[in-house]
Amino acid sequence: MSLIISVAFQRDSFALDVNACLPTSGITAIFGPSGCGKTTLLRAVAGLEEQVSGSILFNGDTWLTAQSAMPAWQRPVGMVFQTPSLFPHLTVAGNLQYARKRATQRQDSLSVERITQLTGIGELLSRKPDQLSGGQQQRVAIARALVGCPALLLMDEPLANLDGGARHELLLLLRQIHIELDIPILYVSHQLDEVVQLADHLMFMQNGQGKLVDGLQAQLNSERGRQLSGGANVVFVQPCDTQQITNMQVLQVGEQKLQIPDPGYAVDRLLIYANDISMSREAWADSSITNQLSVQLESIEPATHQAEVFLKLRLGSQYLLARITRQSAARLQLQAGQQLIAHVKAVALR
Amino acid sequence: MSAADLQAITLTLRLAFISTLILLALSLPLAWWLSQTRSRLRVFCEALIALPLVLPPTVLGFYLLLALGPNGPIGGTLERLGLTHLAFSFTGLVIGSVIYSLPFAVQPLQNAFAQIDRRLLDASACLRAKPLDRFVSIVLPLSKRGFLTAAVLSFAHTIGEFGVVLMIGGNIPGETQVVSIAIYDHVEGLNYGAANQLSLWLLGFSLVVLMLVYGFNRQGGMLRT
Amino acid sequence: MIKCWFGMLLVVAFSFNTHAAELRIAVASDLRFVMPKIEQAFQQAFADTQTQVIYGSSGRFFSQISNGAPFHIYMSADIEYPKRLQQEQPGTGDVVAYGDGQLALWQRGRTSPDMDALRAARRIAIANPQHAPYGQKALLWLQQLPEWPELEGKLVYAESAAQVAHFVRSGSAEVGITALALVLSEELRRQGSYLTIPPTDGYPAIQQGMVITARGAAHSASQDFVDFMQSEQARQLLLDAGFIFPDAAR
Repeated sequence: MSLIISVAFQRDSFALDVNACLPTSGITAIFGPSGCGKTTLLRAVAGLEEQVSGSILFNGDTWLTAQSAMPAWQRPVGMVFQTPSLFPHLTVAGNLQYARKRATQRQDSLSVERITQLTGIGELLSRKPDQLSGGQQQRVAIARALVGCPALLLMDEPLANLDGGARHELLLLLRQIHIELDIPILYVSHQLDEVVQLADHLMFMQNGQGKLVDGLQAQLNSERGRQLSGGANVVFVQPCDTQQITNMQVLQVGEQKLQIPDPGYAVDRLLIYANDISMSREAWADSSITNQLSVQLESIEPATHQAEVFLKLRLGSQYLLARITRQSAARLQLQAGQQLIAHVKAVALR
Repeated sequence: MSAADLQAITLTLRLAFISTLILLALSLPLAWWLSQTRSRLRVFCEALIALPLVLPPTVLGFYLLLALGPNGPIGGTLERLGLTHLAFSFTGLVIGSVIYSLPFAVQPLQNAFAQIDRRLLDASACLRAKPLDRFVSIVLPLSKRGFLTAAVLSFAHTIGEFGVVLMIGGNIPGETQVVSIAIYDHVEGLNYGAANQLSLWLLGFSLVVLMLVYGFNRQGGMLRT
Repeated sequence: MIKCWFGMLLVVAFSFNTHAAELRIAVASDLRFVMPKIEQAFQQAFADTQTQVIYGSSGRFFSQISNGAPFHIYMSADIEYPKRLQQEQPGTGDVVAYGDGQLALWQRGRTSPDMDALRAARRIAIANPQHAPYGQKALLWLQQLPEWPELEGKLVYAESAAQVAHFVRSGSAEVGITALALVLSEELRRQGSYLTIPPTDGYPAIQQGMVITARGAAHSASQDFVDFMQSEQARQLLLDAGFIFPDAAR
């Protein structure tokens, strides 16, 4: 089960060239800087870019070939745009019914009632779109895409136009959708924290190019991942049942423990920037940093800046990247194989 | 008001009503195409449609007379087929009115269509709405005001038409004598009382119609034609 | 409410009038005021025949009939247009002269206009000589006057002989030269005063002709009407309206 994309497109100086096989389970994030062609790619998958040529196969169905293109309205996709794009002449309920009426296969698991409840828009049903806040509008847009019972949900930076609070709430909603509904999602974003918090798989895009799709952690740790993310780690964690601290969440990585301020939901992964890790040979008792993890130095690798190096550290079965200066590495006399302490400023994702 | 004047009013209303129906049916696809296409033909078509705005109606009427009459390409073909040509007939007037009022139907619709957010159409396409479905369920409701403006302006403009009718109408009561021609006829016959009565009717009617148009456009800003 | 209006409009739009059997007569506008009397007399004589008279300029009628206008009889203000029609349109009947019109000088008020009034006028209205017979004759008459050089610049052209009266009545022109048949009418007599200009006085006779059009040949009443126009009754009405019959045998 996969989405096989092989498309090319040229407009002025911009060229799109994507050859990739994307899994159709969980959330696959397409991450890259603005203007790298992410949105164009997503629109091509939806069938909204008529000038894109190549081939797109979804679970064995041909959506695009050299000879023919399936029009957008025949593709079983749902699309959430950067701007909510609700139909202004219909109420919220009308917008949902619009999608529901035209759904080709109506699934009970995606009934209007259930999705209304899941997205928390029950009280907005009789309102018109211009009576909603930006966050509410985007919730409705997501609900509208879902009740259309898509086989693939496409999301084009759905949080980009939202401010802090609304953005955070919507991020939680997307996680919940991921957990509760069995719909593969293609998620385009240039915000690393969104990607890290949501994605199972990741594809990097740069200058219209996109090829490799892999697990989130593997992609971030790859050389390309380091370049694009500036050195970011995602660490998968489990809740720790044995210890509880007020206002904090205690998490477990292998046998070791981590504490973070409680963000209000069950944290299962953490984003830790390579810059936010400092190293010592011994554990410090008198530090403000509570999270000290015992790691093994795997290798020392060059960073983009001449004066810096990446330390690849093994943390149980996962890897962490830390970025320190060459000078510090020399002073600590670091060598591959050493046991070290990583001081981590871990915060929950916002 | 005399029976002949009442007949002229009925005829004018009938002409305006039928012309408006045909104009809307023609203009909807035409205006939609003009608002969406990137074809180079667009500029030519826009100019062609706008011609009645600048041409004296007599020019249009003159060519219509030649085309629709028994010796013209259209009228002649009809005659050869055993039918009657269209000059000096109600059908001919309808054809003339439709051409003459075309810009008044197309332009408000085209403006309304052009203002529709493309993303809404993309969104509805991704909700499995077919092209015609999109047009009916999204485009039409969102250009309601443009539609009404087009309808009312077409209607009013047809009512106020004179030059074209003078050329191809022939001033035949009950067939081609519309109000504007009847007024002209009354003035020529120095029957100022009747001319005044009909003129007042036309004045009041036009005022009401324009008030309706401006009423529709009140929230939408300028009346665009 | 809206549905009700819509329904009414539909009824208005698709209710068709029937008037197929009427004898449709295109009449030069100099006959505008005498024609209703002739029509009435004709209808009394031929009780079954409905007539529909449409007034306009002779030249416009000529080109309209050439292009298929549905008139059965064409009564021009001259004899040239009917002759041309007979030559150009196969099926057109013979040209029948039904009387000679005369010119008249006309101005508002109770005083009959004279040559001084003509000289004093700032604007003189005549029908457009390009297509109106009375305009052509009026121009010929003016051109042979010794005052012509100073009058030439004062001319304004009306669409037809009838519109000349309208120009004068509305004050746009002080004096008009139009058809005697118009100014003799009750309507215009109330408005102003006239001076007859007989055709012996410097312009050729305004011989007026009528024809049965190709379309009119098929109408049973066409010939009746043409015959009626040559009857004593019709001639008397035309005489009263200022027409003359210099050659009674014609």
